[in-house]
Amino acid sequence: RELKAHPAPSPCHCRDTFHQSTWASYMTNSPTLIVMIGLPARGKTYVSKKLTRYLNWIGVPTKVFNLGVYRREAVKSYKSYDFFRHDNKEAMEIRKRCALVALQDVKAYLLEECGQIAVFDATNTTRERRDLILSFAKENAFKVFFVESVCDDPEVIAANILEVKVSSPDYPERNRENVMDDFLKRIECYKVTYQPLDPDAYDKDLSFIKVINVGQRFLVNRVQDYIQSKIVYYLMNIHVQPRTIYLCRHGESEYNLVGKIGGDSGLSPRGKQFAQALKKFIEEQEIVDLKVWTSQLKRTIQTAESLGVMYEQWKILNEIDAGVCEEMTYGEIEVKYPDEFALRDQEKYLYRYPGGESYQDLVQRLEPVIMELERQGNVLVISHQAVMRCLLAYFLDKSADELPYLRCPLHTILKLTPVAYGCKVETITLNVEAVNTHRDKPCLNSNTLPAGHSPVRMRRNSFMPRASADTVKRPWHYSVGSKPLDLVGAFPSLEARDGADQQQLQVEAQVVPSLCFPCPPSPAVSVVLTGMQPVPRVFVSV
Amino acid sequence: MPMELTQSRIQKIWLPNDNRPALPRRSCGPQLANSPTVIVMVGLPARGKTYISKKLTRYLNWIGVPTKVFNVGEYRREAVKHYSSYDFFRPDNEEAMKVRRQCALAALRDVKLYLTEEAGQIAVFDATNTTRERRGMILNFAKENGFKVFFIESVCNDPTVVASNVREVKLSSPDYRDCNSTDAMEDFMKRINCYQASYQPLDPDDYDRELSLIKVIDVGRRFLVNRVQDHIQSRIVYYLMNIHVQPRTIYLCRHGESEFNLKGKIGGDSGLSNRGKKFARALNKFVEEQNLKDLKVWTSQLKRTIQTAEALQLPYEQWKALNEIDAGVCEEMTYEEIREQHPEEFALRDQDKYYYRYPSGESYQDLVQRLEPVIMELERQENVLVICHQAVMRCLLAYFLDKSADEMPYLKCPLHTVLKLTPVAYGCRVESISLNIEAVNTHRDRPEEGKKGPNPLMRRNSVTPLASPEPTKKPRINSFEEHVAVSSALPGCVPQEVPSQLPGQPLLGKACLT
Repeated sequence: RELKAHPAPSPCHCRDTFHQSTWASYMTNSPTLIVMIGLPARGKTYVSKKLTRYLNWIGVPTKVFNLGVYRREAVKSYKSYDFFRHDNKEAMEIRKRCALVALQDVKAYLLEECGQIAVFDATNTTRERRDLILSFAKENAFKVFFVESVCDDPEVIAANILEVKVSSPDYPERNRENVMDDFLKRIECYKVTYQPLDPDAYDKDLSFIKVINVGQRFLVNRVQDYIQSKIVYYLMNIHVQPRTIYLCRHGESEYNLVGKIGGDSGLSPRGKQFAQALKKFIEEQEIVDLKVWTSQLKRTIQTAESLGVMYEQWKILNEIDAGVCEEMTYGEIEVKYPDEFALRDQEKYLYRYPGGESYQDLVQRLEPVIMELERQGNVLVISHQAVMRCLLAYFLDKSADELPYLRCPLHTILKLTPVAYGCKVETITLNVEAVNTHRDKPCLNSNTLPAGHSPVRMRRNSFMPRASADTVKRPWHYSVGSKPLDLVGAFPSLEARDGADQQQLQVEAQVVPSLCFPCPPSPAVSVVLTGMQPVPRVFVSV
Repeated sequence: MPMELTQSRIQKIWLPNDNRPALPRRSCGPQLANSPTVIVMVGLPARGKTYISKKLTRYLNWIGVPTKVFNVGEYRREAVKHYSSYDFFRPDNEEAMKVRRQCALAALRDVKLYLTEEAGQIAVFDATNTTRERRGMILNFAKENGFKVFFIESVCNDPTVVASNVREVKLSSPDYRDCNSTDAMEDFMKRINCYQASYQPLDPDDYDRELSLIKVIDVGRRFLVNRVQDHIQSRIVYYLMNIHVQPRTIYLCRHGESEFNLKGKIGGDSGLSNRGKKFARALNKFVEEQNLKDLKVWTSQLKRTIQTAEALQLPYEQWKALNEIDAGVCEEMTYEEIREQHPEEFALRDQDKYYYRYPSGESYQDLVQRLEPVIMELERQENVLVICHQAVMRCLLAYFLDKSADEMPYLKCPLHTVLKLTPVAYGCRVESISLNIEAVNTHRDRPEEGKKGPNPLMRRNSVTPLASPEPTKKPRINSFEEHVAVSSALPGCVPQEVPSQLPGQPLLGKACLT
């Protein structure tokens, strides 16, 4: 019963799979396969991606397997809806084979790559197909949870087709009417054989949620465990109304000026100037029903006070608690707690200040904020550097590695607008000078672990966001039935993925400085499109 | 520019200096719902409506939303003192039907009073409400008063579940005081049949498609949720989807006595004392003797609870949310030291212990909010042993025993004592098991002349548990004849006994910071 405080978390390459899977097993016991059901253009892909983002953010390794992507790999050029006719036997054969290949990938992900949840994004509209999936899951001891999206509002469907299907790779250079027409015919092809989930008889023993008319109604059957109950709650809270989320930090504080972290100081004169500028900015935006949220620290409240609108204080938006290091400068910490200082640089996400918090603690504390943000319309969140990074990581699909280094400078507003499957970010600098509080990720020799250092412990209720993995696009190498021997080659392993994340981080680090520093002469508006789309980052200057 | 702020002394909340009521402060209480909500239960008798009503009311009060149940059955028993048989519930018993309708109206009158004058936020209208006519009447009533309505229908067609519910709670009902259980059972089943003929379930596909509702089917096996309107309805739905009725036991205890306990210091992260280690071993023995299936063990992330759990030879989970209240600048001090070094803080805490927040630390109120996910997960689980800390255990206990914010910080949770909680009928049975290992006493009684501080500010996301109020039993429906005379004048003509201020809710006034 001699306990030792876990000295520090280890760098990511030590995240051993054993701990990870034991931890994850607390959440679900066995891996779960989420199976989407619904006619085309019912928002299945939207729900899949959003859910995957959420689950990864709360630290459950989740990945989408989109059957359309496999089909496009197999059949390079799409001609017309003819392909989807139920009497097109040849095409049916191809489609079935695609499904089987995707399921093989699901299996590899859940059994060999430490995946915890796989989202199988396809229409799955027939009992035959669903039975095939169920027996696949049974063979591998996966739990199955169905998410059926039902929508009979023609306007919603048309809007969805216009927004996401027109830009689909299936329709490279056609005009809108043709696409709409072809796509509606494609839907008709599925309607012929569509067998919705039948909760009263045939499917009464399955676990599922039916989402009816974009969240107007839900039918939930036989929720099996904690993670399914979280999924249901999340699906009941998201909506698709257009809205905008504004994220910013408090104005520059007295402590910012002297380089101290934490504390509860008031605004500096420049900070007050920013508060005024923020008021003007908000007025210019002419936002309907804007809600303003602050933390319970003086600097965010002072900032909100100058807006002249109602605001709500949330204690859970308070800055990360630096424990014994509160009210110290980085220099002072380095002198007084050199070990702590070094440990934090090694693994900033998992590092917990003595008597304080880690970014991981913060993500967990912020989960209700995310849930409430999903429910709301237009919101301005006035928070703090570490808090804003966590919120931003959720919306921009960043991993735990990148999260503590995201750039959230003072006196700069990030405007987030949901688009198709992702989130558009505009960075607005209000041209009030402020100190820079960002510390870049130091270059570390990651072999300098302190002696006696053990790998990171994963615990229940400890969140470890990941970036959602890109949809697998695999070359059509082998036919169904043969064991995929090229898995190792075709799939990035965990380590490789971490590496990939770091690469993205560097890209980001190159892009963003040019965007926020130095302060340009007039309010600069830059747009960074980050989607959950395969092409992750397009950078446009407006 | 009003950027000068002052901090309130008890709750440590920043406020604008001029103390102007910072813009229109809306109604008080957490800003969960904009207008009051009437939750209307729907279902045949013995479908667990009262169970759901009470449980939900407990939860909502614990998270600080003032909520009260209005059980029409109790109004009926007031009106008709002697229940003779199911005959009363026959649809063709016109006289009785009239009485029953009057009872419903009287209950609605009280609902209105509670939501408009007594600062209630949610009223749970617990009755069968099985006909469209009755529901239409309630909807009209709500519309007139600007209340939101959320229906909860409990549907259960499993005869064994219904029978066991009848056995468990209905046979002990005052209606069957002088009746043997076989007769009572038979009578009750006939009573259910009386309703069956006229039962019109909610029809979300057509007639009721515009209503906000949840159908709970076969004790939580399936749910149908329609048109959730706001945050609080979404919380209610999530809660209903997580509770279950399987028999189970929850054990609460604190860590074994710690080194800091010995010295009288609060907070910190010290290890167990020798007696504390002895307790851990005794706990191991106790748990083995209880012979539990699938016991889950939860600890905080502090050394003393983990050391205690290590002795159990069972897997356990660490929750940071279970950590002891953060005493901020007073961490690792004795009460004497606090009194010397922060005399003012020391006095403030005695004034209002629930709201008092340690400088750069937490209040009990903060703690309740932090513990909400733990409560939700406890509801989902079966047998659990929670090894936690004094303040944390008080908050958890207050949830299960329906204690108010006022009583909570003074609940007795001594060291080396296990509380065993077993759900029964509509409540929770507590057994206190002392493991007979000596330990220091860490309890401080409520000071005698505890002056109340200024009224605390209510904020969104700040939760102030209330004890669920006693169901109103108004003696005014004394007999059927008498009542018919008064019945025409519905709203507020009756002398009201406004409940004296709810225990433990020091403020339900309108001063409110968003």
